[in-house]
Parts: sequence; C-alpha cells; structure tokens
Amino acid sequence: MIEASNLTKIYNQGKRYEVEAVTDANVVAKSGAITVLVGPSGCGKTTLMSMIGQLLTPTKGKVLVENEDITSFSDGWKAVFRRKNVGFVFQHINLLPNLNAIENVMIPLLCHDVDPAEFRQPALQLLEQLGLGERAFFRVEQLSGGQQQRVAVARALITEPKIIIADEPLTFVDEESAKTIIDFFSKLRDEGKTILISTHVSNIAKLADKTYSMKDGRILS
Amino acid sequence: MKGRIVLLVVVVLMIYVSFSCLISEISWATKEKTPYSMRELVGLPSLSIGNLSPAARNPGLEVFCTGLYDVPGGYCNYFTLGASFINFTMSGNITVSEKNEEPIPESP
Amino acid sequence: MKSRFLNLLNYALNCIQRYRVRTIVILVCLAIAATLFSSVSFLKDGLVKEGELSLKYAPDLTVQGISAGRQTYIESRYAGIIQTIPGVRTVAERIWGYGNIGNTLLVIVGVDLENKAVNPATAYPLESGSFLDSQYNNTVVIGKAVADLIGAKVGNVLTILTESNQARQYDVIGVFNSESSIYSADMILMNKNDARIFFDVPDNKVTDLLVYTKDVDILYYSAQVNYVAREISELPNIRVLTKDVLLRAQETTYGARSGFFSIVWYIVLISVAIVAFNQTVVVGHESKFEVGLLKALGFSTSDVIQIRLIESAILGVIAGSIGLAGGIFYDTVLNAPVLRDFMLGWAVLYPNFVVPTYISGQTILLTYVITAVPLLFATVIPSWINATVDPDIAMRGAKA
Repeated sequence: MIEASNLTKIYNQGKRYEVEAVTDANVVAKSGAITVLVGPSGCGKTTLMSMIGQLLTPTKGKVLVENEDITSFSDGWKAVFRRKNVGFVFQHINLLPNLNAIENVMIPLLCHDVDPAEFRQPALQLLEQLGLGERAFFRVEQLSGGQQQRVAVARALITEPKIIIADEPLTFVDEESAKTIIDFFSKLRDEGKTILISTHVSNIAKLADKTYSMKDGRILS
Repeated sequence: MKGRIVLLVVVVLMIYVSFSCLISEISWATKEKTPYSMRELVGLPSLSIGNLSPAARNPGLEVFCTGLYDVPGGYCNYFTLGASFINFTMSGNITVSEKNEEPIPESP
Repeated sequence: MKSRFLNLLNYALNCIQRYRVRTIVILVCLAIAATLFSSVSFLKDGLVKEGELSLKYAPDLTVQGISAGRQTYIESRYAGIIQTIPGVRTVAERIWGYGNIGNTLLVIVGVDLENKAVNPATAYPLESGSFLDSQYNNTVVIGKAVADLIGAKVGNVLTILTESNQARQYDVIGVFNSESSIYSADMILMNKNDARIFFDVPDNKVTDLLVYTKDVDILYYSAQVNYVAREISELPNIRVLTKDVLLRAQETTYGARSGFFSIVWYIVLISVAIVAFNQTVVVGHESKFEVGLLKALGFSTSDVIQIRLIESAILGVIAGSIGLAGGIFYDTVLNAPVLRDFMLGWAVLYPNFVVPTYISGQTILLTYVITAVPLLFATVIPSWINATVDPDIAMRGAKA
C-alpha cells in the first residue's frame, strides 16, 4: 500500500518563475487495487505521480510504502527501492531508440545482480501476453505508438514489481493497444499488485477501485 | 557480432604492441651487452657529436638562434657553447675524381 | 555483483555502438593523438638510449678550450698536465670540426690511430674498402650519405678546399655501411695529422682532449670523475664535459624537439575533450534523457557513472591500442618519415638508416593514460551532474 500525504512541489522556489505545481496532495493506493488520478492536462498529475514514485523530490510531504517513509531515503536507497518495487509506464513511452523490443524490456534487469539471459523467456512471454510475440525483435522505430507503449508496459513488469505507476499510459495509443493494456492492468490487479494510473481518458477511470480528481495541483476528492 | 570483431581487433593490436615492446626490450638489452666499434671510435652518435651546437645540426629548427648569429648583442646560448659554424670558412668546393686522373692543380 | 558488473559492461558496449558518430569522432581523434604521442616518445627514447649506450664507450671527460665564451682549440700541453692527475688512465688528442658541401653539413673527424681505445681495423662496419692505417696519410673513410651525395666510392680521390683555402687530395679507402649511419652518415674520417692540416690547427693545439679515467668500482666512478673534472677545471680557459653533461644536453635537445612536435598532439587531445564534453553536456539531450530514464528504471547514480567510466575506458583502450600500433608501425616499419628529420635535423644530408626506437612499457602505459583520462573527465563529470538530478527533471529537461 502507498500513502502519500501532504505532497507539495514548488519549482524554482524563491526565484522569479516560482511555480507550485502540486499542493498538499493526499493519495492512498491499496494493494490489489487500481487507483486512478483524473484531471485535465497541466493539473499536476505527472508531478504527483513522479513524487510518489520518487522520480521527483517533493518540496514538502512524505510517501509511505508499507508504512516505510521512502521520501527520507538517500538517492542510492531510492534507486534500490525503485529497482525492486516499482515499475513505471511513462506518458511519452520513453523507450531507448536503436534497441529492439525485447532489449528494451530487459533493460531494468541490467541493474540487478542477475543474468539477463535467464529472463529472456519471461520477457518473450510478457510480450506475447501483450500481443507482441511476433514483434519481439523489431526495433523501436519499426513499432507503432501503441505497440511501443505495450513494450513499455512489459518493461515495467519484467522485474515483477509490487507497484506499477502508469502516467497517462494511453495518450499515444490506438484503441486495440489501449484495450490490451487495460485488460492487462486488470489482470495485474487480480494478482495483488498496487496500481496507480493517471489519466484523462474515461475507459481507464471505469476500471478504478478508487478515483481521485485533481485540478490546479490539488486533489479535489 | 560487430562488438566481437572490434574486441578481436583490439586484442590483436594489444598483442602486437606488447610483442613489439618485448622485442624492443630484448634488442636493447642485447645491444647494451654487445660492444660496438663505432661508439668507441666516435664517442657519441655523430648526429650528436656537435650536440652542444645543435644549430649546426638543424638550422631550420633552431632558426631563432641562427638568426641572431654569433655577434655581439646576438647572444644565443647555443653559440656560446658550440662551434661558431656560421664563420666556418670551408668553402664547400669538393671534387671527386678517379685515382688515375690528373690531379687538379692547387688554387693560388 | 559479478553479474551486475557484466550487465553494466554490456550496456556500456551497447552505448558505444548506439552513439556511433560520437564514438567514431572520439576514437579517430584519440587514436591520432595517441599515434603522435607514441611515435614521438618511441623515437625520442630510442635516440636518448642510443646516446646513453654510446656514452658507455665515450671518454670519461672531454676537455675543450674556451675563449671569450666560445669554444676554441686547446693546447696540447694540457694533455701532459692532465695525465699527472690521480685517477687519470690516459689522455688522447682529437681534432675535428664541421664542414659543408654547399648547404650540406658534415663532420670531419681526425682519429688518433695510436689511441688504445681504437679497435682493430677489422672491427669497423664498412660497406666497402678498408679502415684507416697509421702508415698512410691523406686517406679517408667516408659515411654512406656523404658517398651518395658526392657520388664517391672506394678508389676515388677527393679534392677538398681546406680551412686555409688549399686544395688537398684524399684517397677514399673505405665507405661506412648503412647500418652504422647513425654514427657515420655525414662523417669524413681521417687520421689526426691530416685533420690538423685540413683545419689548419696549430701544432701545439687540438680541438679537444679525451680523458679516460682508471677502472674503479662503479660506486666510486662518479666520485673519481668529479674529482678529476675539478682538478682539470683549475686549468685556465678550458671547460670540462662529463658524460652526464653530454647526456643531459642530448636529452634536452631531443626533449625540446619532441616538445615542439608534442604541441600537435596536445591540440588534438584538447579537441577530443571538448567534443566529448560538448556531446555529453550541451548537445547530449539523448544522453541526459537516457541517464534520467535509467535512474527511473532503478539504476543508481553510481551505476550510471560506472557505465560512463566503462565506456570511456573502453574507448580509451581502443584508441590507445590503435594509436600505439600506429606509432610503432610509423617508427619501425616506415622509419618515421618527417618526424625523423624533425628530431634528428640533418640539415640537408639525410642518412638512410633505421632510426633507433625504444618501445618501453612506460610509454605504452602513459599512452593509454593520456587517451583514457581526458575522456574520463570529459564524460564522467557531465554524467555525474546529470545523474544527481531528479530523473523526472532529467527526462523532461532533455525533452525540452
């Protein structure tokens, strides 16, 4: 379970273009549930998601995971925490160019003390489950936006994390891919994962076990 | 595959370099132990025999010295140490003839 | 731990392949810098080593006359005085000087054939003919380069204008071979008396005196030489050259010459560092984004730095190996064209010999260091800067 309390992020604090992107946000995401953050573009969803996933240091507030305050971790321990517990799916997909699909999926394994070759088969299985079995060896540039996002989902899951944070995962995705991804998230929920998704699209919101609305950097409900 | 080829090339180059180093060390060690008559005769490699007047060996390089010449005010460290070759008056006329030919008469 | 390191190594190799243009530019520039550095170093070390070797057999002290700060002839009588100094084994006279054929400089050396230090005639590396014989005057042995320049061979007669503007004839009785060119290429060797006449040296003077000290244990050698040098220095208007002085002068000369040449590789190396730094910091959006992404996926700052370190080390080793191989090939196979003339400076007379090169482990290691270290600084520091920023900011900043 994730508990984010009073999270605030101020960019350029004390400088000329100071921006308070998120103010006193409180979010609880339970295990075996899909928690959805909805709001218009620019309301601070990505900033909040990044703070919860420790990709961004909050100005104020803390994040508890299984009652442990991960905000107070050092940079090194945050990396360890992310490595072991969190899988990210980004709005802009963020695959590495010049690599193929399966190579991108296996990148998170490189910072673990494992032989990536042992995870080749699981990686292929993941891609198959996401409908990309035949395109596992296609380079990123040869995949459509939807296919790339499915590769990104596989990448987020290769290390079997307990927490999945997906920031607007369906933005650049076609309908077929969106359906596949949504079905996959449902499956992951049933497996007991903690899933936190931000979106402005209604079809994911329908899946939610808990929904938070956000506007102008604040959680409304 | 490409990576392996690059790695192989690098390994080959490193072996070539190491081997050259080994040969060089052995060669010099052998040279050190082998007396060489020319060294005993000349005392230094002839390119160095006038070493204290390096301008004599490479006027092009030490041009900033040769430009000053060995004149008062044109003080140049090299010239105070070495032979003032600029003033060396060998005229530079040298002729070659067969032994049986008439010798060239001495100049007046 | 081992697997993790191997994973990072594989990723670093992958990065090198992915940023192909940057890799090639850096490799080429570093390889050029390494080639320049290594070829200059090998040649300089070889020349200095050859000098060191020859000094083993050189006289322990060379005594020359000084007048008004310039070298001049020294009185022969000083030989007798020096002979009485404790520690002196023998003193020999030498007459030599520079000459020229047009713009071509050469050395004319008069050898004291009675000198015990001179080997039997058969020991000298002649291509043709025979060595000097004390029974015969007006005979010369010439270097290969001189022979080639004037088209002379054994049996020819050289008519040369002497110092006193007289035309004198010398029989060419021998030509040194190419292998000895480093010592003999630009030399005309004659006996001492002929040299005296040639240079019009007064009977009571010589060019320099060669002092050989007594054989002592190596521990006492320096002390003995220094003592003898000090005693000789008491004589008026002379200077004393020890082997150390000659070697230092040689090292200084080649050091200065190689230093000029080194300016080129300094410039190349700095260019590489600028390119690499530029690529990583200013222009490297991809690089910044990649660092942010890796951190988001669980890589720590130290992992990112390790990847860049490995990358730089690999590029440094590759470039260093190519450069070293290039330097060795240039010096030993091609015989260091251009560089050889720059370092040796033979004015116009270019002898044809294999330049001495010394390929030492020290130079090899130094070459690897100079290729890897600047690159390390130029890539690791910017990567560290990127890696300490929040991953979200790194990725967004790169995209912006």
